[in-house]
Amino acid sequence: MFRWKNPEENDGAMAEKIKCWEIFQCREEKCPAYGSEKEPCWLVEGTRCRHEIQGDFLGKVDLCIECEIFSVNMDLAAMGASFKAISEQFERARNTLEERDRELENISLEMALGLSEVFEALREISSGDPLVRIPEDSSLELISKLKQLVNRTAENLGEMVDLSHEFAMGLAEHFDVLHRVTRGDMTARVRGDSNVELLESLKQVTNQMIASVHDEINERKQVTADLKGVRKNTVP
Amino acid sequence: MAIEVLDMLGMKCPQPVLKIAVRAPDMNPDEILEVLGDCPTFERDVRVWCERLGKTFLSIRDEGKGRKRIQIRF
Repeated sequence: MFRWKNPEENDGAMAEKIKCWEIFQCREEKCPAYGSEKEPCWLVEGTRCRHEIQGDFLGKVDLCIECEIFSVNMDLAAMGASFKAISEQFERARNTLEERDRELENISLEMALGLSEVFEALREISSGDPLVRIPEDSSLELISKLKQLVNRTAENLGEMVDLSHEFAMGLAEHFDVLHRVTRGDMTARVRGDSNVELLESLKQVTNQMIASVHDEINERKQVTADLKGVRKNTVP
Repeated sequence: MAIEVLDMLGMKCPQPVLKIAVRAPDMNPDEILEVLGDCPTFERDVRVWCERLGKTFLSIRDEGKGRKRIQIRF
């Protein structure tokens, strides 16, 4: 049934070759090799041998090498076409690999730069600086999210630090005012405004207390002066 | 006039400001207190403290590695 063909008879077409769909009585009409006489079936991409869809020649070469059609139809012309196809497929694979290599290099670079920024920001935050912020844009979603997380952490930490500073400033001012009062400066008042309700209340209470003590002292001075006046007038 | 120096290296804010506040009553008018700190918010805190308490922020010198030397006039 099979007929070995003399390579010199080859006219470049598949007309005199054995047809896979004939030999295997194939009914896969959607197979791109079905009914085709232009090129050997192993060079046709997406064939449907054995009820499976195959890829290019390199992808299905193990299957084809075992196939009778491949052995019988392989001649110089087919070999040349096969080498050409292999060469093209290698070239495509090489280009794909180079492209992926470049992508990986870019990803690695972005990862390294992003992590460096995050590392530096965390170092500054850990040293007590909550004002540090880093740009959140990155081509890598993971790095972008990490940067956002670092910035949110710094913001929250900053709010807590600001609050502690506000308390410290308020405390310092109250300490200063009370110290001036103890030295007799009754004009001393707490003046700084605060967005902390407790500090504002403390300011009012402190200032009222100083004013009350001041009034009390003045009243006593007045009474003392009055008493001295009365005594002076009554003593002969 | 002798300048008093307060070394607060290694202290985290707002500790330096509280230290300055404690020292403040002992300072006489026009005397200068020199404070040394390395907390990242040290300068900002001292500026706010001076503003709130009516003191003069005289000068600041960056000594590297985050260390700052500030002079305050009372």
